[in-house]
Amino acid sequence: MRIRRCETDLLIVGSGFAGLWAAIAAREAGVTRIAMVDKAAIAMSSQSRLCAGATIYCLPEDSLELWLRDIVEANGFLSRQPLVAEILETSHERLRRLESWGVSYERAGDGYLRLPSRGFRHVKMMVMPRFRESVGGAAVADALRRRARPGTQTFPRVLVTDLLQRDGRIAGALGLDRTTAEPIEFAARAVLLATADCSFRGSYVCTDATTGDGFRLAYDQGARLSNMEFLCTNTGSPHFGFEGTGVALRWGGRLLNARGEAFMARYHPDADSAEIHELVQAMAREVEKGNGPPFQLEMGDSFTTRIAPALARIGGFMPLNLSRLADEGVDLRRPQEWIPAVQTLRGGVRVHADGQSDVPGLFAAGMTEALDPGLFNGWSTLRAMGSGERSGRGAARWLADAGPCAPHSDEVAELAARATAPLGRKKSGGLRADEVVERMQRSIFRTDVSIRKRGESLEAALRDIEDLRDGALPDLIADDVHGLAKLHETRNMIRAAEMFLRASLARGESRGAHFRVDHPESDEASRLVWINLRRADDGAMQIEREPVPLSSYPIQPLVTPVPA
Amino acid sequence: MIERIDRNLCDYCQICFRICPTDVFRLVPERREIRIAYPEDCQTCFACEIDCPQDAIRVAPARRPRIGPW
Repeated sequence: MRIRRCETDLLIVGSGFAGLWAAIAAREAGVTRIAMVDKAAIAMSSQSRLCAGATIYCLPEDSLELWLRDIVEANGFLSRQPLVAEILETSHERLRRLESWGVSYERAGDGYLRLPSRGFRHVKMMVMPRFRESVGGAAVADALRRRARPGTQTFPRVLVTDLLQRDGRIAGALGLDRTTAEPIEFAARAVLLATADCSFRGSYVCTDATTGDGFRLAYDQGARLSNMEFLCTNTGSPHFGFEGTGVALRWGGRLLNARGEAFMARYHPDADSAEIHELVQAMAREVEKGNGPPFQLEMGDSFTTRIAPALARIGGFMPLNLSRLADEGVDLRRPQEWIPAVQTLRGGVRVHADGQSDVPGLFAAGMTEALDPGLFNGWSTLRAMGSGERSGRGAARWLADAGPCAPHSDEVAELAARATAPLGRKKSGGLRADEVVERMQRSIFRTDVSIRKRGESLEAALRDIEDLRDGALPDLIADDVHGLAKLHETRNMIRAAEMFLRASLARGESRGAHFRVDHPESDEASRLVWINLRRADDGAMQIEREPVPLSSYPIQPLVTPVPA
Repeated sequence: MIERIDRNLCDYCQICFRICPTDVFRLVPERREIRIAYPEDCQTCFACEIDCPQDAIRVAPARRPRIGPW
């Protein structure tokens, strides 16, 4: 088998905000040989480019402490606070640099338009970035691409299937060309994973390409992953894409149960303005009471007067989507069926202050790293950019002292043969990737597994996933290269599903988007832990409980006086 | 889900093929055509339509059926 070879110092996997900032920062810190791979186009296909681009920036006039408290509290005190603080502190300088490269955010009067971000009291975000003809996440991605690409060797349409180690450190990666299935060996002294998160191809809009690729790659190398129990479920239409339910509910929309009743006020003082995970919890409780499904989102005339203009301001694909829905005769002033929609697994690779994982030479950034488990407007984009910059710089520092390293060629050949083997399999017997994905979704999207979790339901789902892992994955077949890539993505999602279920079982309390019906209370702050997962030497998935060092962190729970 | 590529407008620039996050398109070089090879994998993100310099692509808002919690 012919294997192409690329030799580099830093291999960056993924080319969204995190990967692009990592390339810029690494080059500025002196790394001259950088290669960037993406399973689709470089910088043109990422979640970053598809998003509306709203981003939190902490300006000199803002209180870093209040903002940090907002974020830490909203994340149930599971934030890795020094990392979060650094990303906030450096955000103004990144904004200044983006502006010097030609990016502008929406302005109001003499200053920036700064909007509140749902779930926070003080934190504010900026919206509608523009760069030349691009608007939204695409604008920032296009500007970053222009800075990152010169001197960076790029490999579009390459899916990384395995990482390689030698002598206890990262030595490179194996990729598959997504057009020809040709294997490519990357000999790299450091690898940085910026491959977004995992949506399990759920119901939420525009997340089908986030298949936990970096999670599985890091796990296989022995890295620790953290916060994998936090699967965030948003809401949406089962029939069409809709980004901005939060906007709709803030500007006059409300959720109705099967009896046509607005029910949110029964569950939360903020009613329909409550955080997304509260809405989803309430929908599941209505189902338990026999009040649903179906549910509906009712926007009425507010859709025309307030919601559609607000969505147009946010940008992204929604303005075009709304006009197409109108063309098709969908009247959004009338109630629309609405369902919980799995969006993102918020865990990731546990990293140190420089972005390095527990495996020497393996770095992570963006949604691929574990920073905190919440999902907030403008926070993911800030996280992606700040962590990318930090991890890129960290990789540069590490490379300055790291000696040469190259993968074993026989291991490369063996992995390449294994990665392409499903193409040659006979078409009888084995399942296709789509069939496995559907079975996985039926197991983990259930209410009692993903929204109001029960121990016994999590155990049953885990048995399903183990059956798929051991029974179906080894014999999966691929009709062509497109199917082969999906097969590898499926393998990644099954591993992420196993991590989600084991971590959900291990966290015997409720916190944020992780709600256990059988453990509805939150543990005391003094007992707060991160659930870490890693591959043990015998291949089993090992669970570790790492105490959150709250006493040494700047933000601690406020003590509420107990009435006498 | 992607609906159609207008053959009269498409100039085979291949941008849609390159940027599609879920790899829906294939090239047909001998006819200088883009084929919608895997429509079932379209995630209805509109990226191809928005980025098509010829306005040759139309995406319909309906999505493939999704599995929900109930």
